[in-house]
Amino acid sequence: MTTAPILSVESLTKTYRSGGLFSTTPPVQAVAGVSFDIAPGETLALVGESGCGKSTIGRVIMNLTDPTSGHVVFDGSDLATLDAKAALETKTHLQMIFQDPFGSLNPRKTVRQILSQPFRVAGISNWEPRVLDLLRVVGMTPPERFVNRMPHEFSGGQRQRIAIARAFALQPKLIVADECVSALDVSVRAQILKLMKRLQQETQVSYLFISHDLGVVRSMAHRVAVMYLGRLVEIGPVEQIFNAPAHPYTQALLSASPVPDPERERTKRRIILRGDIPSPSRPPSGCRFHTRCPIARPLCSEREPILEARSADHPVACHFSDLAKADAWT
Amino acid sequence: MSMQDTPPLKSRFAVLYGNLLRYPARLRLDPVSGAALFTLVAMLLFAFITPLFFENVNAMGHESFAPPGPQHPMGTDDLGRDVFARFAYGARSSLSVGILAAFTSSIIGISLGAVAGFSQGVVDIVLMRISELFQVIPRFFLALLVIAIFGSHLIFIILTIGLLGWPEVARITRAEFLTLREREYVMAAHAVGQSTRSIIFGEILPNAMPPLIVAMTMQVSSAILLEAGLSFLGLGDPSNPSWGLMLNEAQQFLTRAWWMAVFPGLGILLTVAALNIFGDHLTDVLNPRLRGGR
Repeated sequence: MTTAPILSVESLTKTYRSGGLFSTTPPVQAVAGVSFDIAPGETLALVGESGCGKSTIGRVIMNLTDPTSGHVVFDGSDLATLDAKAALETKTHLQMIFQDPFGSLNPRKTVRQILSQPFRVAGISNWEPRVLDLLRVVGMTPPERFVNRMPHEFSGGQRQRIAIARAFALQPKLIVADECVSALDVSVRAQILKLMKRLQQETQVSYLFISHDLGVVRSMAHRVAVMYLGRLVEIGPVEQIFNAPAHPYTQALLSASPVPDPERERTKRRIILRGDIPSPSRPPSGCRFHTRCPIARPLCSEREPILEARSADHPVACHFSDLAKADAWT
Repeated sequence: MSMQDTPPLKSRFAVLYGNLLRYPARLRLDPVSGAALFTLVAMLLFAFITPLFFENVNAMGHESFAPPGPQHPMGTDDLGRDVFARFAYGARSSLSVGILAAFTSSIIGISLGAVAGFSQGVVDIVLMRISELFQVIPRFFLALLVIAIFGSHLIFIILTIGLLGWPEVARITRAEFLTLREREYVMAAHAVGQSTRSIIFGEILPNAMPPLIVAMTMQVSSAILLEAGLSFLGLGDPSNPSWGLMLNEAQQFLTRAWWMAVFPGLGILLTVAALNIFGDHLTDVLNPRLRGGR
């Protein structure tokens, strides 16, 4: 990537303390030293099973929680160090689309009130035509029919369109989409994804696309970052991740996702991981994946692998990624 | 579509109007709660209209202890005053005390609860400990003390009852704020850059209202009872007849003139029971888990 990244996350760590002052439960490490960049106009997908810290990263980027350590640099400035006014200005270019289209719109406001909010905050008084434009852009035409309604009068897909319209109100540069289609049914999901892609082409917005649905990720993302237990295990271009996954966890994840071809689905070799995800408050020593890894060696429980570039743009955190590859999973 | 050329102002009105029309249906009244609501409305109308027809409730007549009859529908008391007129005035002062005291406690409770729930941390801990301080003090005796010190003017009674009731409202508000502040639309409001004030009043508070409305009806009924209790002990405002004061005056003539005690007693019973029944019904209707087919 030659252009400056729109977002850089630098060794981000987030630890949640549980219980009170005298609690003996160890703190939960939701995110442990994660770094990545997103280029303008790019979609980076963050995948992993539930509890691996993907959503926490989204929340930290959105400034909804403070990181324990590390930095988030958005559009050249660290949001945590900016003064309040500049931060507000920068923050408008950073928006979010949420998972639950029934929870992300205030149930007591009309669509007009919801969509005019960003403009009113930005001090734009003549927002009425812009609100109508936004509705048109997200495919809700004629917009006059929708502006006076309340959120509960819409279907999930329509609500998600309204949420997208709100996110796009103030020319965002990056949108954090946290599981934004997983609550929708399949046909609506495709429409929403198409809409998001079209908007990306028109506005050059970047997406941080947090998802556990590999099929959706494959169709949306330019690059994919795979997380396990708060750590990034592999990051690379979407074709490389899907066609030549280098980390055994990525391979297992891919083998678990269904292929829409019954013939291949039946003959596909499956890697079945044993056991549960270890507790993030007591992560295993060494490589965090070694307790479930099919190719674990003694070294894995002793030394933690670092994320090293296998090829120029495809770093992997595994001591034996060559071995994993040589094993030739399909 | 005809909606297309509707000017926005008019359509905004349509939204408002539509909501107003929907509310009575949303209350989903059954016979019991309907009767309670009817009693409340009737009592309110009675309390604020009837006293206008009586010149002076403290005017003494020449006939003491007259039983209820065509001249005096509720009889007269020991000084020959018309019990019905005093009952109507009593309704007005009891309901005003109840409503204004509930209003006072709601304003204090909602503001402090909102601050505590929204800011969390030290502010929350301090405010909640203060509210606990108020909750462990027996309300009635604190009210006695305050009135003994500051006198029994109606304003003091209202303020005292209001100041004693806020912790309940504050706790409910705080609990609502704690859950609502994590809602996604609140996060979206943060992301858009809305000010804290606009998030509290525009996004969270309207959604926190249902349980608060219920709490307020309960506040009204407990304030009415508290005022009646204070007046019954002779600590009410003697220049404003209230139901409690009438009961106080009636106690020494209970065997001689039952009507002096029964009517104000019935007034308290009806109002408080109606408030509680209607409040309970509101709890059921406004509970989102029981709200079918939204």
